Amino acid sequence: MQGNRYAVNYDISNAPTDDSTHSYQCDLDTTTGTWQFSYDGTAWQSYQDDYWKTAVGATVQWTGEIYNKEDDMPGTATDKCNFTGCQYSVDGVYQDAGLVAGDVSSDDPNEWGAQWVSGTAFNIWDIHPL
Amino acid sequence: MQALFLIMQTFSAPLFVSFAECQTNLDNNMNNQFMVQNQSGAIDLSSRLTRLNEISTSSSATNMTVAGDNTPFLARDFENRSVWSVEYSGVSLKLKLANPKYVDKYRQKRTFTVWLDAKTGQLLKIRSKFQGEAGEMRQEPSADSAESQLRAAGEFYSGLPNVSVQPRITFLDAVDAVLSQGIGSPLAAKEIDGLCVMHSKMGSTPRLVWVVTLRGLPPIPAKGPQGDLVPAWQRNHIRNVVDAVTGKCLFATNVPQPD
Repeated sequence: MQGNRYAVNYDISNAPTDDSTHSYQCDLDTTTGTWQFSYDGTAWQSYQDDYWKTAVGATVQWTGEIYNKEDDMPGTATDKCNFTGCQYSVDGVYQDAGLVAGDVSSDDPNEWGAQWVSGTAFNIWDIHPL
Repeated sequence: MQALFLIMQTFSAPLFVSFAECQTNLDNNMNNQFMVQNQSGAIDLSSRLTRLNEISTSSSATNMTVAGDNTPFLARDFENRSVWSVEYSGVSLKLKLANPKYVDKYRQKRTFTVWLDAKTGQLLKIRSKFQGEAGEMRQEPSADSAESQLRAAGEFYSGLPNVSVQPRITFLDAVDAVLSQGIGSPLAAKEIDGLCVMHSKMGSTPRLVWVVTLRGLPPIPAKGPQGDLVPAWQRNHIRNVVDAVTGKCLFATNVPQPD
């Protein structure tokens, strides 16, 4: 989260289990400047920052991310991690992400794979899982 | 930390707490809560709660009155309290779960101070002070600012635990948990602070936790658009919250930020 202050939260103790499916959503309430994050429909984290009373998100990304390079990215070549139903909201109305192949990429193709599937879906995986 | 202290007594003592004593079940500490009658008693209790005696070369205890503390949610409660301030110097961090290849980057460069309530022996906080160039490590926010930021992120310290309740793991165990499960390496932190409080997040039932803050870390990479523009001083500290009963690291965040 970046507003007047940069904020990050690592939810160490709630990593999803293998082969599980979850929904993630974050919404901005500009009346309070609060980003509300939910996990499987349950409020998980909120950030209030007055900066967001007069600003809105300008870009949207769906990312797989690891903390240490030695960590495994979710998914393997034979059992990829699927991102599906990617949408973003404008003025409270959700619409499909409209992803195209060129939108999907990996920071390091030798380490992590990324594959476009559709306008709302893509796959990622670790090339060399431990 | 911008604290002003009225020093009334000073006493230095060699480390005398035996290993066997340090292994005493911390639940027994409740029996010692009301027995901190002198400096050696303060050092004894502090060492049992923290195990800092195991990694330091000397310790001393001072009786003082708290003034101008900056602990969020608790500063007003701490104000004007008479405390035993136990100081550990010559610290070289040795963690059970550390890879032998990695050693304390700042050995002998941190002094730890433990505050115990002078009447009850209750642990108030643990603070470390780096003896070197602070670099991009900025001063912590004021109590009001930190509290406001934590509330904005859905966190709340409801207070210290009941005076008869003690953490089942020591401060050093919590630091070990951060190393093995958490975010940021204590071995690379210029300062390591600890707080044992009742903590809740997003309205959850308060639970006893160790809040372990690492300051002066190598900056953590910031991802996302313009992430590289985030100043280093906003990325070189992290606060890990560890369950003080199970030793499980719950989450980590860089909130609160310096003012």
